[in-house]
Amino acid sequence: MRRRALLLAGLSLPLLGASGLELLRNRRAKFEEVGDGVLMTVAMPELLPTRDVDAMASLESAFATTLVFEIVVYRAGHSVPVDQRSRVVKIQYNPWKERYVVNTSDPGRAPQIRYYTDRDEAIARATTLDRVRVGRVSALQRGPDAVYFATVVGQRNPIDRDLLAPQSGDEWDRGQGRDLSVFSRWVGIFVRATQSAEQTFAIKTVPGFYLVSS
Amino acid sequence: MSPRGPSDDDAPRPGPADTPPGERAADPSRPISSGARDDLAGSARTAPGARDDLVDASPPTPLDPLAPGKREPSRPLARSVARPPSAVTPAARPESTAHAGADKSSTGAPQRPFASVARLPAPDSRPSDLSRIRMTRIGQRIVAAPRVPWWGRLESRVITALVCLGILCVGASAYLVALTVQYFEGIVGSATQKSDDAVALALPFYDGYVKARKETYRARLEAMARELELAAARGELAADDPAGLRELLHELLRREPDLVELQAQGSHSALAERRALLPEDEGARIWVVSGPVPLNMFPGTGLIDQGSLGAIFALDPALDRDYQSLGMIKRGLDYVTVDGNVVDRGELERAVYRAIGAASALVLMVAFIAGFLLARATTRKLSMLSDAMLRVAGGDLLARVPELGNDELGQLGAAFNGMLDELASAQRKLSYLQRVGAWQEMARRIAHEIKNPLTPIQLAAQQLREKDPGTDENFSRLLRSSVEIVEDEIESLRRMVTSFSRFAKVPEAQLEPTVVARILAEFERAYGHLTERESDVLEVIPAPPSLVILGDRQLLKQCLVNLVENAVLSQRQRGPVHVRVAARPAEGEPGFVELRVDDNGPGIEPERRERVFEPYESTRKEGTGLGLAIVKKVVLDHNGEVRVEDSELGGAAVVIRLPLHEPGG
Repeated sequence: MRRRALLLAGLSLPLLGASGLELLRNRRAKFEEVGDGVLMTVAMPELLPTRDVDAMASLESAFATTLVFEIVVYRAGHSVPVDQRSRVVKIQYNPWKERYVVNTSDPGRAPQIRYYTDRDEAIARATTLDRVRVGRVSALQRGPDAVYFATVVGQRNPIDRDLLAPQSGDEWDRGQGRDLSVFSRWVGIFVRATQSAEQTFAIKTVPGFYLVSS
Repeated sequence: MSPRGPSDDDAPRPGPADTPPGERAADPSRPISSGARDDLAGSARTAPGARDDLVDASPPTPLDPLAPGKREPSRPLARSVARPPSAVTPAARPESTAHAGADKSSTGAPQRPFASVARLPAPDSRPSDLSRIRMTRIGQRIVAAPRVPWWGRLESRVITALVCLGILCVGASAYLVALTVQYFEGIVGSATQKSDDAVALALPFYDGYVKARKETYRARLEAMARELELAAARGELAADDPAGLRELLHELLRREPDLVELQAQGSHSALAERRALLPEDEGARIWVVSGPVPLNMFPGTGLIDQGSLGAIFALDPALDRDYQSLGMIKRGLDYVTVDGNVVDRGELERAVYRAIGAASALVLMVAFIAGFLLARATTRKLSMLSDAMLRVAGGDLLARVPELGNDELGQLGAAFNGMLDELASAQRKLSYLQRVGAWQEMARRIAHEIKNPLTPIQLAAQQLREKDPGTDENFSRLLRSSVEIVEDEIESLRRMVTSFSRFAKVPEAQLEPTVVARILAEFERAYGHLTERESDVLEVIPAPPSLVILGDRQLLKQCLVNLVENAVLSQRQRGPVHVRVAARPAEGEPGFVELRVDDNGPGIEPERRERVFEPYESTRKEGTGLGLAIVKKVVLDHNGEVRVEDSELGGAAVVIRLPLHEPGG
């Protein structure tokens, strides 16, 4: 009996290990139907945790911290996105006014700016998607048979190529520079993990939602 | 007694060496002892310890018509058979050496063997040595050669050496590159750390700057408050004059260019601003609120006893933009772009290692393939050369090295082939001369044995004719007829003996510089009568006087005589004879001259053209078959060659090719 348990434990270990590779964390979210839009409210404090000393130091140093959210809505059992949105939130401490500024930008809409004197409040505001519009009701089916869920990929301070020092194209297009360019491409083949952000956190809304039939 | 052709020499000989190779090879357990050596050596044994590297051979066969000392050197090699593998070391080739030893043992004066000699194995050799010997069948013969394992082959060694060299070079290069990457990574990391430290040091300065600037704003605001209080104390501002207060605020606003708003609070509030000119939202300025500071302009009046003054200052945003840029730079210090992707420096370092490793592997693979092809191309030539040499060592003198190109190995192969050609030519020449020599000796003895009784027989016949009493006419007629027959036969035998004697007494050539034209001229003058009939034509074409050979004039004239006689005799019964004798430089072979005797006779079939030079080889009833043999012997004595080909006159052409004499050469 003990031997069988050990065997089962041994067999299940790889499965447990494989499950840890799941990139999407399950997160409970709140969905509302308002007019033709579906609004979602979900918090992702892991994106800018207050226990992250470096992140807090950067924030309090008045450097702007950018949070980018990519929101995609899927119908359960389907891999084709139903709708996708993005949101950019900037949080920055203003030492002149001694307050935190949270600037929320949605494509096609005017940015919303909010001020907080408390850092944690500002962070909570920045890391929470509060009633964000994730889809149109007219594009979704009603009824419990059509269950939807959303995935949110949040990035803190995405690494943008513009962030880095530009390389002079002239020097890499002739002579030894051309060889360097070839070598760079050769090295690029062997780059396994590309860095996209200081911190990346992704969730999947569980349970999903469905539109109640009228 | 008939002449024996070369094939007679290939007849198997009795003795131990005639045991089939398979049977010998199937007896690996045969002990290696003196007995085994006796078995190998046959009847001619080698004394132990004396030249034990040579193996004796089978005894000479009684069927051999040649004297033992005149045996041609290559024939014994052709009769070789394989020795038991246990009787040789891997380096030995027993079958190629047995007859070399036989020649030595049979003649007393050893001939130089064409193949290397075999070394007998040590007495403690074991049958397990079989695994190190490769038996190769060459035609009807089996050659033993050392079995080389794959790692012992030259090709494997060259490839291994090239690969090892490649691994060493690539590994050393990769290690140096890794060291270089680490070195510069350390430098870059140090520089990055310094940059981080610099940024960390700069952060408090910005904070201090902000605080200092705000204190400055507050001090300026307090100064403005004191100025307002002073103006009120001087009576410039009445307590019941709000417009005057506003005017004073505007005056302060005009005087301070970075002041956006100035607001007094109290019993009389007043505001002066230029907000429209400096919108903060568009990023033109940073507004810094300062104050409020206490403002008490009319103490004791009770009007503005607890007032305050506040202000908004506008700050150039460039400083803040620079500061944000500093933050961006700080964030980007640990990242680089590689082929459009952003990676951190640690991953970049690992990627560089992987790229160098992959490149090294590619280079190594290319080096391996190139080395393999190069080594194979080279060692294949060596293998072909080795195989050809092995076959030659086994007695196959017809073996040749294929075309190996123009490099040194190709030249070596060509030289080896040339050497074999020369060897074969010399072997043929020597064989022919030995045969002719044997036949000369036989002709001399025959002539001697026959010539001596001819005269007494002839005298006896003459006495019989003279002593005829003539009493019986029938008897006398029978006697005369018998005596005539005897005398005719005696004359026939005498002619044959003369021919034999002439053949046996062909003198050695006395070589001296000789002009070819003179030979032809003397021949024409002395032997022009060879064609006696009117219809016969002997055409001697004068030769250029520049053709000089090293030869014996008399013998060469004799050759021409023999050839012309042959041509005349072969055609005389068929019709008019036309013989042409000419000499000219050999075409395509500078340094040689060709003497040609063309006729209009029946010609010689191609398959007989080589055999006609053998002694006693003739198709004519009255021919002795010695004329062409004498010609060939004389030509060979002159280091020349003779051949038969078709003639322009319709018959055969005998071509004598002789080397030209080069004075001082």
